[in-house]
Amino acid sequence: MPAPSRPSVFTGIAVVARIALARLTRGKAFYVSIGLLILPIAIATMVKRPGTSDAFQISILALTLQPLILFIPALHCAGMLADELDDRTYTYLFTHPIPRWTLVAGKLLTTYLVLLVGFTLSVLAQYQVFKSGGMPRFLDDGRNYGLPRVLVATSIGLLGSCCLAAAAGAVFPRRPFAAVFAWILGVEFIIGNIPTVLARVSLGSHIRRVAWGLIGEQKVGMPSVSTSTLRLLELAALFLAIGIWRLSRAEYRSEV
Amino acid sequence: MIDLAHCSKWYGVVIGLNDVTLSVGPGVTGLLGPNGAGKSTMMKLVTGLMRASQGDVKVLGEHVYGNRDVLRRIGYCPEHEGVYTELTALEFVTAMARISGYHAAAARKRAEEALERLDLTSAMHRRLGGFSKGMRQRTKLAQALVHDPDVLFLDEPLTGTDPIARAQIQALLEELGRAGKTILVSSHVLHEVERLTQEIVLIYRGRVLAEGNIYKIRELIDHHPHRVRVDCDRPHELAGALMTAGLAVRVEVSAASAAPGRMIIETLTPDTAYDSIPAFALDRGIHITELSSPDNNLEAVFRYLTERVAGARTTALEDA
Repeated sequence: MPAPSRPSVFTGIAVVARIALARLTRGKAFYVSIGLLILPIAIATMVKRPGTSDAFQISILALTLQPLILFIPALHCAGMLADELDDRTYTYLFTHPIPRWTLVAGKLLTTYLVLLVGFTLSVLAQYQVFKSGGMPRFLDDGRNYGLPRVLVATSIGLLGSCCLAAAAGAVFPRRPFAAVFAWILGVEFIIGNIPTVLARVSLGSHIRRVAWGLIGEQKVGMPSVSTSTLRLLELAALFLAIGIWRLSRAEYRSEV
Repeated sequence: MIDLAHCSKWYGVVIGLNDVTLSVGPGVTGLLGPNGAGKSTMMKLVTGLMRASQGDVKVLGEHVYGNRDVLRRIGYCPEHEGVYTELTALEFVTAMARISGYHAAAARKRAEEALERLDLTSAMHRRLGGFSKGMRQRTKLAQALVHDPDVLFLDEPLTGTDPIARAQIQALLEELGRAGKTILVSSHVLHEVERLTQEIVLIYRGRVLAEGNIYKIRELIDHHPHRVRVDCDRPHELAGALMTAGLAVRVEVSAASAAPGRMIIETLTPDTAYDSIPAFALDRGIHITELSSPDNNLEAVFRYLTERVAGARTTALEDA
């Protein structure tokens, strides 16, 4: 007799998450990511000293952490759905009684949570390093809750970035990394830095706004912190929807 | 159990399956056709991986695409080699049991039993990335069987397996067939299917040419030399022995560096040849890594059948 009951959606997500965790932690990219997350701490250690200006320390944090929020998820998430499509391993999951979207949900959840832990530890370590060298105002301003805000920006930005990379990989399974890096270079590094309407689709610009909003600056034309937070969540949802749509429509490629 | 009614599938302008109506009942049924005939397309339709462009596909009396109640009761061993290489065999098969509806402990127990059934107990804690092609094939079979499905779809299940594993899988499928399971096995090698069942469906260029007893096609195929591909470490020595014994009418040893140790033999007695080649190799200490059929003779038979069908249609039209 077949299995006694139909598996729940949660079982589907849990099983996919477990597979994703094994792939994530047993792959080389995992160790590359650990190395990359240590990098900002190392740089902070090198530059910290009493009397270093806040602006300089903010620049260090921005220059090291922000690109990593875009690049590290790309390393893990771009190939996440693309590998399934390319290796055709999704055929095992799709011929079982679980909804197709659980594949995206399970993989994304695992990758996001693992990376979130890594980034949180990295930010906290940087905080400790800066603290030992004389606290920069932006991190220690009681009014603006600097550290929590950096953590919030990191966590939401990371979510958006994971969803972006997964969606790009699903839409362009043959060239997942090229697709994500093209987005990062074109949209995040160029368009996102030009204050136009198009900058709204840049994750980086919103991450910066949420994180740096703690300084209290509000330039004309700049979205508010709450608007940027909302936009990040909207972009994450949009990218997630694209990834799920692509995968749910994935029909087994075949040489006829 | 498996019903297709006027089922067609197009890939853009290319047709994969063309107005197929077919009904498959309990027991083992062979889906036979040369590469590109439409076997895999049919497999993907009946497992719910693809939606038919036209017509109905039903398994266990219900439409299969997106039907979780039907998917719970089917097992599928795909043709492709892709597996989760970072997982161990036990982790992989347990995961498949979990998403079939078993709780964690039961899933693990069933996975161990399924792997044991496929003789993979000693390797079940190894990662699939380090498995040979044959071991991966057996793991894929284990995951298809782990939840004891009512209907099994096996797409080229013997590909890449060594002679011992092949015999083992054949015995297992026979046992499942006798137990009343509905099993559809696709293959492009007549000899493989013949050992599993007498019930076959012949498919060619997206159409079902014939279905029924295998002996009808057997008579046709015996008129064509049967090609067998052997990958081994000393092909010349094995070729000489087969020629001397009169088992091969022609032997071609590959000189390509991409396929060292590969030879193709042509035989008029395929049954004897398939039985004797491993025995000859064993006697001489020759290590065979693969024994398969490149299937040219089957292609010839299908061409013959197609021409015959076309000829009959022309005659009928002329009579009309």
